[in-house]
Amino acid sequence: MGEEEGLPQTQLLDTMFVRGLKRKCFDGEEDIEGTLAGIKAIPSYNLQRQSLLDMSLVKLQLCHMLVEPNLCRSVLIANTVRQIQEEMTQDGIWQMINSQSSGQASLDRLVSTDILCRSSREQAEGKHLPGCGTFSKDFEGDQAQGSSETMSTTSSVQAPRNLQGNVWDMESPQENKGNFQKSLDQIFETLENKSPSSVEDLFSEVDNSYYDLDTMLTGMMSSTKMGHCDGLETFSSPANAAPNSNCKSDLNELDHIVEIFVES
Amino acid sequence: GAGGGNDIQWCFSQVKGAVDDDVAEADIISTVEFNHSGELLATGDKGGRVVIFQQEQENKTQSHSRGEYNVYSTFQSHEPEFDYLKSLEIEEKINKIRWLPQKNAAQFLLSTNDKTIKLWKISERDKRPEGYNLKEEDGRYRDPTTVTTLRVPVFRPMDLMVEASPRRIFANAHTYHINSISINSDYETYLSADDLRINLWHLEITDRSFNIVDIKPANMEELTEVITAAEFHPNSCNTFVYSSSKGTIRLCDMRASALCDRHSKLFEEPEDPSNRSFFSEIISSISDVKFSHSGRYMMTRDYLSVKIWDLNMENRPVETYQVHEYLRSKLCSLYENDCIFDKFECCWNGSDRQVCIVMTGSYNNFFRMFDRNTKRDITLEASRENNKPRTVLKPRKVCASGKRKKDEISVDSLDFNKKILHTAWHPKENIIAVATTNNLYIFQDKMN
Repeated sequence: MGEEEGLPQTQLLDTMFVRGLKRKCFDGEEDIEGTLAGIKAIPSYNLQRQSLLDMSLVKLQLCHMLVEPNLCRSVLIANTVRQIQEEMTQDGIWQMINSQSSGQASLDRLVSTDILCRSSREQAEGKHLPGCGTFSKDFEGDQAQGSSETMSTTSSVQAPRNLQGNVWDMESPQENKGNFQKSLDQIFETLENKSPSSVEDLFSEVDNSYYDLDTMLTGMMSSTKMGHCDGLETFSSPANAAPNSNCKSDLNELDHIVEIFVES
Repeated sequence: GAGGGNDIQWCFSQVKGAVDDDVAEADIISTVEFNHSGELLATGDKGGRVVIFQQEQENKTQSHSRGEYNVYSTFQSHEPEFDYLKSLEIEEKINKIRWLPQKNAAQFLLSTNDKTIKLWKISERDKRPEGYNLKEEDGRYRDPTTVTTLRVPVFRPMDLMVEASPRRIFANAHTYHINSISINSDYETYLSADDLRINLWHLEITDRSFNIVDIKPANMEELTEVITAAEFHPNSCNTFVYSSSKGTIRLCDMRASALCDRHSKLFEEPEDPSNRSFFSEIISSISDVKFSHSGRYMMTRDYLSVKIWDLNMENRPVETYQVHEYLRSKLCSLYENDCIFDKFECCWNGSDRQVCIVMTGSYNNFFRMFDRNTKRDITLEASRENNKPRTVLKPRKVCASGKRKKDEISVDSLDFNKKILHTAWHPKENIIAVATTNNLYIFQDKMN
């Protein structure tokens, strides 16, 4: 740590978690370009929160080594995961995927709130939101692409399912909460039983490249930037598959992790 | 924090340990403790060794310095073990050392790793018997028929030999990792605390202990809080406290019930809502708790601060001292590199009634002192550079933000690998022992 210059990748994350700072509430009626500029400067709160969640889950995985894991550390990390999960549940977890894909946190939140309130028929018609202009089209375009490419992962499958007008607020938060709780429980059970083999089974599907935090964090940063660029580029030319697919493969891995914890 | 009046002026005295930057993991110091007279200073390390330093008798002619500390005894206290049932290693790292008060010529201390506590007897041998009738000097037996006269063996002086022998081994009582041991004021019993349980032992009895606190939930899935430290009250032999990872301290009275499940007092400061973040709980976790000498106050250390509590007031501390508030904006990075889980200890000054100072460590080999009377604080550095004996240590300052003044260090330049977790204060004099990763520094008050 001393050799490096100060504190690297997480400097941006630090700005989000300074005292008392909560999510920024973007007013949807603001100038769109102004909002975009604002987002470009600081990664979205949801993205940052997701990074923290992912980091925490990796930390819990890395606990299982030769020596018995430090129980205090594990408990503190697990409590942090629960806190994040509870807040995400309040927001609606499926937003996590959408905000990552386009980086347009403010508009996403508006869209999601609106979609939740719409009837299933309106959602099926893919009605645009007033005032979002071309950006909502891009968002839906991204989402369609996202859905088709990541159809194998259940977390994104959840999204269209929810869009079909499930009573998300009542069912899924608890369901997901239960799934999160179950995965945390599994971690604690393994801590208690201390049989590394079962832990390895739990995490055997995890892609090893995920352990590289630097890659993950920088990957997320770059995919966010690509998302922004996508937004601007698709403004003029609709088709721009390459950066999107790059973005989506990162998301694939992340979705995979989420799937393990949410669905297991 | 500049001096004046009665402020102590700290000078470098000695440094122990390897000079090179490449730190061998076994040499990492994990605990530091003076004995009750201050004559002996013990350190434990990650390799399971205990090194005891002894202070030289004061040289009456050399009034400008107190005696130096030199190696007195070194022994291997704990060895690495393997738990075959769980398929996990048990580290030999010494987590804590606590001295017993001296009752006879020998010294006794308790040392513990994650699972086993040992009582060690350290005794001196400076004479040996000579002149046996049936044995030669080298130990070979003499042929009895060659013995023509009898003599009485006598003790002759020899070079001083210090022997350490394990007198008691207190094992198999802790499922989780032991974080604290504390000797009761009755000097007959002691407690040992792990993440979820606290046990009471009698120093003479090794095959059983009494469980006095158990916070393990019936369902481990419900676990959200662990015990982080515990200590007996210095005067009241039925009272002890334990701290938790949620920033609470519970005071328990053993007379109330056999299992102290319900605390007599609960000390907790309400959270400041303006400082709330995802890291609030982690930084509120208490890493150390220490009673004052009188027993009227106790001190706790959490990640960013030191708090002084009056035992008569449960709802908030009487004083709070910020150790390194500039780290609050870096918590996410410190979470990523795990530094946020570092367990800093704290200590009170010796039993001088006039002065009340508390000390704790920080990063970049800095350590901090807070004077409770003058409300002044100082930051000093444990470093081999610029440390000449009897030269007063220069105070350090960290520049949190904005323009960095000359001689200030910016937060981003701090070395988070250089952490001072363990410090100790001589029970009677102004001598302090400060442990960096693998070196032990001894500083003294400048004597005129």
